[in-house]
Amino acid sequence: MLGVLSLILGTIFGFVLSRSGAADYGVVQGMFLFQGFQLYGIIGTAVLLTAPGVWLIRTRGRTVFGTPVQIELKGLTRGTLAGSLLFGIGWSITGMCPGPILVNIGEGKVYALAALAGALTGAALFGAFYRRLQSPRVGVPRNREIASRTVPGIVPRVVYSGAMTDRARALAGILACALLGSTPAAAQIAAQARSAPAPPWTKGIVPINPESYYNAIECGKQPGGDPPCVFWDTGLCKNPDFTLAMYTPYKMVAYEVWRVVQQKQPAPQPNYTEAQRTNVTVGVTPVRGSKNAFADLVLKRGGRPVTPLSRSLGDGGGRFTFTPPAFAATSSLTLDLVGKTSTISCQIDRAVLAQFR
Amino acid sequence: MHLILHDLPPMHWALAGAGIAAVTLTLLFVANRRLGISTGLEDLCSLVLDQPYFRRRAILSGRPWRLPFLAGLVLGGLLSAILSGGWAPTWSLGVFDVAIGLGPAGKSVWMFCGGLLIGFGTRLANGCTSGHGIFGLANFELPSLVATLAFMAGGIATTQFLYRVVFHYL
Repeated sequence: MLGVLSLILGTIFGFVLSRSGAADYGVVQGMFLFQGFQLYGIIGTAVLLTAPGVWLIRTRGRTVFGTPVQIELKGLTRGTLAGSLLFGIGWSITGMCPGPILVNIGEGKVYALAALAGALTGAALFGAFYRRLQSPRVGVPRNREIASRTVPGIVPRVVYSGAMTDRARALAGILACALLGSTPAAAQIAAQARSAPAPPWTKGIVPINPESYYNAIECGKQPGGDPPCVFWDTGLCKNPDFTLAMYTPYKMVAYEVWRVVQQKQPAPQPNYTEAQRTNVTVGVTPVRGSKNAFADLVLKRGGRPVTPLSRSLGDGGGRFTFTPPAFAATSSLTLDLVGKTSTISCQIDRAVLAQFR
Repeated sequence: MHLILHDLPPMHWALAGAGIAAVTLTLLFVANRRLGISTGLEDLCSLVLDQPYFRRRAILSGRPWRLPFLAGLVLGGLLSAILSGGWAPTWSLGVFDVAIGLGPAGKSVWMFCGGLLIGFGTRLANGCTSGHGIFGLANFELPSLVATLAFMAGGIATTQFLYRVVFHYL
């Protein structure tokens, strides 16, 4: 059924490419020489008409058969730019992109067979060397785990089921990845802070200063066994494989006060100098029952990894210490939880970072 | 500009664009697949190669739709030729024959080299004109914008260089 539909759609697609000039050497060169509008018109019209259609289908969230719409996303890698430049050169030389190679073969253009042979050889070469070629983003260490998550096709698949927020979509993405089961997969999730705890704090993680110090002391006086201002990191980057815990200067002060007040003692004044010396540590522990062994944590800003002050692995998890500015609420950052079988990438938006303390 | 195929006048660009959009949207709405043709190159590789790269679930699970779609592309070209004056094998390459003018052997080497760049480049970039240029742009995906700008730049630079500098055609 799927095969028959695909064959019909492919045939219509091939016919249109053939008759419109999209598969014609001369029309393609005309586009690159700015001598003809034809192909710009075709691609422009196709995109302009496809965009609202995709949006409608995503909003509806269901295919015609009622199954949730799933769209595999393509990651942005160093190869996106370099590979596309190479492809552009090849497109110019042959006058064909991958679809038109096949269309031209159908039309009886003998030389298109040579182009197909070249394209298959090129893809096979890539397949033979991809681990060395495909490093995820500029500057990230090319270890095996990280390289494996950039294999095209296992990038996150987003499931749409009606009008969802971006965060809900990201969470749905994890579910989809979890359903994929044993396949090495990369999940993308978005971090959320626990909701509006008192006292308010919107400056994110900072080296201790008088303002944050006294805010932290007020925080420690909050009643209850789990005040969200102290344990603000509970459930951060929630995923099926790893649990995160954050240790920060603010948290150290707030926790100390909270611990003493819980014992019905007067609120102490934790050591200010010690708080000044405290850095930010991210602790990773495996979730019981998860088969994805923890390998590394990579903090990235603007696609570049931030080197930790210290890094230790043990007991199936690890501890990674950074300076407070690594978590400054100036721009979004990503925490990649690299596992042996899959990597979980947690995106923390600027607005969420600002609620960290 | 007329086509190499039987010197046909091309169909209107708006009609062609609408046809491509209709196929893309049907594929998503009915078959729940995002349009992408260059991944099909891996499908073809996976038929004969058993490197782990070609044994990925993403490839093998796409076979039921991608292989028939690729076959459809060939069929579409074939029907287009038959319905417009008959099918016959040809080496004719339009403006290339005027400006560059290689024979069959030269054309084969030329096309093979270009094909290498297409196969390697689209795998490295994880997409081509269809997956990045049409679906990715329509779905507002940043990697696709980067890819589209890059392959357009690569194509423009190469054709301008070949036709204006190397072969002095213009």
